[in-house]
Amino acid sequence: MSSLATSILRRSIAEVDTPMHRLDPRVKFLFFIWISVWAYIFLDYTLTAIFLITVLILTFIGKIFKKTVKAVSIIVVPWMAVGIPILSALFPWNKTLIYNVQLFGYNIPLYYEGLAWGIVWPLRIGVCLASAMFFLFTTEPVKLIALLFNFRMPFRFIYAVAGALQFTPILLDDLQTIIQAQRSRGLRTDVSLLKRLANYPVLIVPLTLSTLNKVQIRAIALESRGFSAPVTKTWPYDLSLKRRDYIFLAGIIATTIIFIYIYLVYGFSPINHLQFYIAAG
Amino acid sequence: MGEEAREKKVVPTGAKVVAAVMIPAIAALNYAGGVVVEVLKLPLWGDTWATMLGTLISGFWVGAIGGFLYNIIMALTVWGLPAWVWGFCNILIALFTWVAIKMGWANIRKPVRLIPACLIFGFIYPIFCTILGVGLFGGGPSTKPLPAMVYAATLAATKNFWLANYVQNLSCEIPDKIASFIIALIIADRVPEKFKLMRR
Repeated sequence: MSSLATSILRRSIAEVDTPMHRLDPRVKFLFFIWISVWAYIFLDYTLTAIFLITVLILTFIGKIFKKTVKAVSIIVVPWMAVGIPILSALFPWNKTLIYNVQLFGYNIPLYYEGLAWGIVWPLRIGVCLASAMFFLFTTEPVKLIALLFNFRMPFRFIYAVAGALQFTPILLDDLQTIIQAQRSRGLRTDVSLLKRLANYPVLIVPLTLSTLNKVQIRAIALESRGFSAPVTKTWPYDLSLKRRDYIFLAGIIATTIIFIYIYLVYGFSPINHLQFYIAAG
Repeated sequence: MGEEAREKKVVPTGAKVVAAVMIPAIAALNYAGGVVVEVLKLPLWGDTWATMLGTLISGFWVGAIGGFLYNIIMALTVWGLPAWVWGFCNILIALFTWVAIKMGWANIRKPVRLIPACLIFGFIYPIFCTILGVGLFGGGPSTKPLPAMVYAATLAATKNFWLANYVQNLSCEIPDKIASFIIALIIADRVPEKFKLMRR
């Protein structure tokens, strides 16, 4: 899991020129929010799966399909593997029997409601994750900062977001150095739980102190560029919507109208007809 | 008056800039904490200790915003968009840490006085996690084996969906938050005075 996160946070934008890379970051950000919200409005695994496939098609066009599928699989598959068997048997709102499993002489009934619950929630997260990766991996960092600037975010907040994205890979490199140094001094991970717990500060204390030193250096560097100077901040990168962006936006608006119609006429579960929502029973 | 003047001297010049830089550092340290937990194969989350540390050395706002930012970054990258709401958990952790500081429950040299803070982190904090977890992620078993077993056992015994989620959270949060709090206190105790923006 951490290696997946590390690879995402160490993200380097693919040096390719696809229609998805050329889209305005505001449009992609809107799409990311839009599809994530719709994935939560409908409680229908078929529809959620269609959302996921749609996003994956866009990642395929953007040439980031493989890494997106890998990331989504790492999150979704274990979640389903644990959640589906437990919830199919034990979900409190189980009603519709679908199968009886014989396990060690016991008869375990499996129900549709728990199965559906165990499928739809990981799929929802899959949609959110895939759309986030689509946005991040097809947007250059400079455009990401320009996007926040364009949203009129406070410049301290913009720095915090950009800084966190920069800091994380740097700290991970430092952590690797510290782990190697401590291993050369006999640090072991195959010891008892208490000893491993005692090893936590051994790695974290030097990392924290080195980070605090970096904080000081960064503060000086920022101040030398007038970070806290009481003047209007400017940004050299200008964002402007092109024809392709308007076409993409028109697609989002048209689909929104269709979704609203489906929701009003067929409800939150138009294909699978699930009868429960949240934990209301 | 004289005391106030002396207090101002120890705060480094440009403390606001240092605080602004400290926020992303807290977010990144939270993430690194999670990586260390995986390296050491500990049955914890380990990604909130820096929120506590940030509150201990730089005050409530730096800890809370740094912790919240960590969740925003993770929600936008690895966890999926709805996970940003876990940021409120980090704000709550910063608040509890701040309360612990103000009540004198955050002194590693007086371990008995840590008990009320540990009880808050262990039992009250999971209530909030349970509400968020069920409301936004549908509840259900964790992907970590031990909490998943606790969940299944509680659900089988009580048939109470909310209670099963709460007990599962207790099994994670009691060791995780208490260990994180103690580790944050140990580190805060070792941080040189020049880096501390918060006077205690």
